[in-house]
Amino acid sequence: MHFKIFQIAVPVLFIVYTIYQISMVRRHEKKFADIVIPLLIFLLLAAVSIFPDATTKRLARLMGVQDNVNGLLVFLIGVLLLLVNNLYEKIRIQNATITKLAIHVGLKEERKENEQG
Amino acid sequence: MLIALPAYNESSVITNVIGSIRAEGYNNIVVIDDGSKDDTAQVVKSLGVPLVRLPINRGVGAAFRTAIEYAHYRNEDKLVLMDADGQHYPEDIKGLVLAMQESNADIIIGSRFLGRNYEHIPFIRRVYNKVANWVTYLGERNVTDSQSGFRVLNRKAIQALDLECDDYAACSEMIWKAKRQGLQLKEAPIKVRYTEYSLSKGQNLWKGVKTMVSLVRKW
Repeated sequence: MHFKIFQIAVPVLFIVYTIYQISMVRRHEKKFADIVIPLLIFLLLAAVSIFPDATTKRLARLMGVQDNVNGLLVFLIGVLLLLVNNLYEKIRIQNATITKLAIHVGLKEERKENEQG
Repeated sequence: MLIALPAYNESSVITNVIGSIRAEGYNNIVVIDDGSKDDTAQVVKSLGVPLVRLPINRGVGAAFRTAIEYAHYRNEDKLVLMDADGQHYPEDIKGLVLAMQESNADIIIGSRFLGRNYEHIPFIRRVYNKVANWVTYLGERNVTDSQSGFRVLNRKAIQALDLECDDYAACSEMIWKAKRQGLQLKEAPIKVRYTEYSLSKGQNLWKGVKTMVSLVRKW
C-alpha cells in the first residue's frame, strides 16, 4: 500500500495536538468542553487524510453534494464558519470586559476626584 | 433626583444644555463623558458639574450603564437620562416625573410619537424607529418609541437593571430587561428639536444596522 506524506503527517499532528490539548485540560488552562469540537474536527481531517476517497465520498453523500471534492470544500467552509464564530465570541467577551473596565475606571476616578475635593 | 447626560464630543453644545437644565431648577447633574476626543470634559469641569469620564469611547449603552451605576452608588431616588446634544427639552422632565408618580411605573420613556405632532421628525429616523419598535416588540414589549434616550428610572429600576449592550441596542435591552425583572414601564409624551447638529449625532444607517444585529443577538 502506497502512502503519501500528508497521510502520515496529518494523523501525527492530530496525535500531538490531542496530547497538547489534554495536557492543557489537566493543567486547568482549558475546559474539556472547549477542546471537544476542535478535536472532533481534527479527528475528521485525520480520517480524511488516511482514507481520502472513502471518507470524502461518505462526507459528500452525507451532505447531499455531488462528489467528494465538493463535499470536502463544503466541510472546510463549515469549519471556517465555526472558527469565525469562535473568534467573534472571543471578541464579544473581550469587548464586554473592556467596557466593564472603562466604567470601573471612570467611576473610580470620579470618586477619587470627589474625595480630593 | 439625578440628571445624567451621556456625552460624546459635545463641547460645542454642552454649556447650553447644562444651562437650560439648571434654568429649570435642576442642579443635581452628572455628565458621563464617553471618551470624547474634544474638550467636553474640560468644558463640563469649568461649569462645576460632576463628570464621570470613560477612558475610551464605548457607546451610549455603556454611558447608560455608567449613569445607572453612579446613581446606584449615590443612592438616588430617581435618575433622568437625557441626550447631551440639546434635542430634548428640560421642561419635559417635570411631565415625565409626574407620569411616573401618577402611574406608579418604575421606568418612564419619553416618547416622541405619543399624542403629539411628529411630522418634523426626519423620515429616516421614523422608519428606523418603527423597525426598532418591531424588534423590541419581538422581545415581548410594545412601545411607541423604543429608541428614545429621554428616560426616568426610579430607585427600584436603578437597583434592578443590569444592562449588557454597549451601543444603542441598550435602549431596547432596557425595555426587555424591565419586563423580565417585573418593572413597570410606561411612556409619556416629550418634544424634540432636530437641529443640523443633533441630526449629525445619534443614529445613522450603519449604526442602525449594527444596533439591529446587536438587538437580534441579544434577543
